[in-house]
Amino acid sequence: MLFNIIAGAAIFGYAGWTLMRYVRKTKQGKCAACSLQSSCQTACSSVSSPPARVE
Amino acid sequence: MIKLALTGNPNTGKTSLFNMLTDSYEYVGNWAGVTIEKKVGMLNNKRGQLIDLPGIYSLSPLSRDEGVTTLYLLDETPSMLLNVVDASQLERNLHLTIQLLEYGRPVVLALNMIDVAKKRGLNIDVEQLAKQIGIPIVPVIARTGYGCDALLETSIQSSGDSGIAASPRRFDYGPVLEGAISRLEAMLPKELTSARWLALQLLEGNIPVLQKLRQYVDPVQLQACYVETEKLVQETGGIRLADYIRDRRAAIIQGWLQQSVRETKEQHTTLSERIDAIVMNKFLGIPVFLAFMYLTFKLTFDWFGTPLSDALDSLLNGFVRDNVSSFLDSAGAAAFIKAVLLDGVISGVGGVLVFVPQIFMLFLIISFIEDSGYMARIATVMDKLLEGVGLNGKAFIPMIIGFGCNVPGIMAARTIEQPKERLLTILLTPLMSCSARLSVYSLFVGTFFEKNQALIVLSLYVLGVVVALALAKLFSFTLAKEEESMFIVEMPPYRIPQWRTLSRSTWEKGKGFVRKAGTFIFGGSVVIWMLGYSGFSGWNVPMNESFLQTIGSVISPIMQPLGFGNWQAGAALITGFLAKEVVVSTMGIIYAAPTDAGLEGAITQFFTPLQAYSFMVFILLYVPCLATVGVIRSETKSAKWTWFSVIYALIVAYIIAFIIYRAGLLLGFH
Ligand SMILES: Nc1nc2c(ncn2[C@@H]2O[C@H](COP(=O)(O)OP(=O)(O)OP(=O)(O)O)[C@@H](O)[C@H]2O)c(=O)[nH]1
Ligand SMILES: [Mg+2]
Repeated sequence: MLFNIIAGAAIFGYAGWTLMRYVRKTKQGKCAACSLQSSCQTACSSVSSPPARVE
Repeated sequence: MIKLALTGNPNTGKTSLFNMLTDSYEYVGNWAGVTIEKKVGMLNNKRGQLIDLPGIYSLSPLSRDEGVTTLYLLDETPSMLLNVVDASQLERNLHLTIQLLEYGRPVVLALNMIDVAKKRGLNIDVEQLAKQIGIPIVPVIARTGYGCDALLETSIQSSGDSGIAASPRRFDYGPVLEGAISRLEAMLPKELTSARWLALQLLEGNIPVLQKLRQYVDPVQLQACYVETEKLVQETGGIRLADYIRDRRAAIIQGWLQQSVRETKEQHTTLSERIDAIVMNKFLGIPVFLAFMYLTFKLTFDWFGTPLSDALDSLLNGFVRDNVSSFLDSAGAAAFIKAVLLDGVISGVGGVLVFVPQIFMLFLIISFIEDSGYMARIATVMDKLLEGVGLNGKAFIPMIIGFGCNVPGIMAARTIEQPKERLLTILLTPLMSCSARLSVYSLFVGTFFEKNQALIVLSLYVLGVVVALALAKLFSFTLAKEEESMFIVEMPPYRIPQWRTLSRSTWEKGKGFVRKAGTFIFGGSVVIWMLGYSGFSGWNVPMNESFLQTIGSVISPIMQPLGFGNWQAGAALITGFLAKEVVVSTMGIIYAAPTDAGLEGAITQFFTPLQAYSFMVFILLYVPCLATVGVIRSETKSAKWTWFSVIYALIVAYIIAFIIYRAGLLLGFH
């Protein structure tokens, strides 16, 4: 019985956690998953619209 | 903390050097525009940080990835600049070096690819050149690591330099320009150390610099100074201001090179040129590419992938399943736990994992395309076709990357200069068949098209490209273009990919797939299994009365005209929005009834070959997966375009699957 409870909790707990994490990460786009997220400033948010040429 | 910034022209080996010096792995490839983001790494000797930046031809950015480098130089102060230069293209590369010298941080020149230069018969007198330019030069081969230690030592040394090395270098640009520079310098606040550099960049038409200077100086004054100088140069020299600056720099570079570079070998037709005569031939180009793709799928399905994945399948469904089952029995597991593990996790995750060999094979070949130099050729070959639909050849590079996974493909669209074209590329890249979809095809072609697996899969990939081209034509009518874009893509020499790079790059791509199987697909499988295990009448209901059946039945009538109106297909399609591999997991779970002759045996009861083909077409085209939607959102920064990408794909998938199924029926297929 104890085995069943532990196994069940482990399986469903892990499954729930992976799903939550996946949805959270993909919602934010790629940067959320990047290991450099905290030190990287230019990647996603701060590079504004692409520059045009001066004529 | 010392900060060394890698700067240089595209495709000169910056990222290769970064990987060597920081012992990491970032994306390397043999075409211009591989790196699109700033990457920070810790130096091997822990004495500082190394920053990898996208390659640039000049500091005036044309595209979004180039903007990253310019903004980095504007907003931050690296301890020194590590200028990576391709020794076989010295002259062109040094234009950037001049601009970096003017920037006003110590510069060390990494003279990379000296192996290539030697082969071409270029004799570079490094000491002489260093004396001419006045900075340390270290010859390296980033691929093998030759010279990297010396480079690191020199760089760290010069990052501590103050005095002359750390102050901006002055090159003479002639009386007209010098006058304008002094006037601009006078307008700028005193605390800006790089005022001369900023002034020069402004005169070159550098937009981020203009935006920065607007903080300090009245924009009208800046504009007036620019226009006036442009007019003066036009009158005296008869050329545009930017060209004038370029010519001045070219003269300086000529002076440097005259004394230090000798060509010792006569150039004759190289192997690269001979290969290009076939691969880039006007008529043969596209057929050669198709043949290459066909060969890819032959390798993936007939020769390597499928035999391996069959072996994996029997291992998983025999040995692993039996052992888990007997272990659970001996541990006294309840039927419920046994069912979730055997029918949920092993069927769902295992169903996806068996296709790992095919997927790695595909990734290996994509890595080969990336690192051999074929990428830029394909872009050139496709240019004519793409121009006809309002894009240009460069847009095909993100699409090929999309063959592996749509997410990095969409990000690679940052290299496209025109905003409209970039948007179009972002919207169309999801139509490229990715590796996750490959697992669905594997399942179906192995079952229904045993004899022509490669051909059927090729047809799906080609269909994706053709639909993308047709839609580009359609969309470009509505998304009216502002200006004509030019197709400029650098043609790198062919390189035989190193086995190390190839395996590393394949693993980096495949890793994500395996990791996803262990995490998200695991979670998804458990949930799907739950939905199949429970129903309105309680737990452990027959699959046909489960919630999964209820959910699948909602959309199955809509799918009836396309040939796959069974609820199983409906359920798989809904769950497949999360990630396309989940289609395979769902089917694995639904058909996991113990009496059945395996998954493949089970699907034959629910699909005919034509229905299976129509189903694959629908899977190919219908909605981008959740991760792709996420990245479309973050790249376009627009909810409208994100929704658009989902909705148009659904409509197009429906129409095309319908046509294919109906036409197939008329032609007598079943
Ligand atoms: N023969 C030779 N090839 C090299 C050397 N260094 C790099 N390469 C190859 O050159 C290609 C480009 O390398 P990358 O490191 O991606 O170049 P990059 O400067 O980061 O390019 P971008 O990110 O596009 O700006 C790859 O195919 C490398 O294997 C070298 O010293 N010798
Ligand atoms: Mg790079």
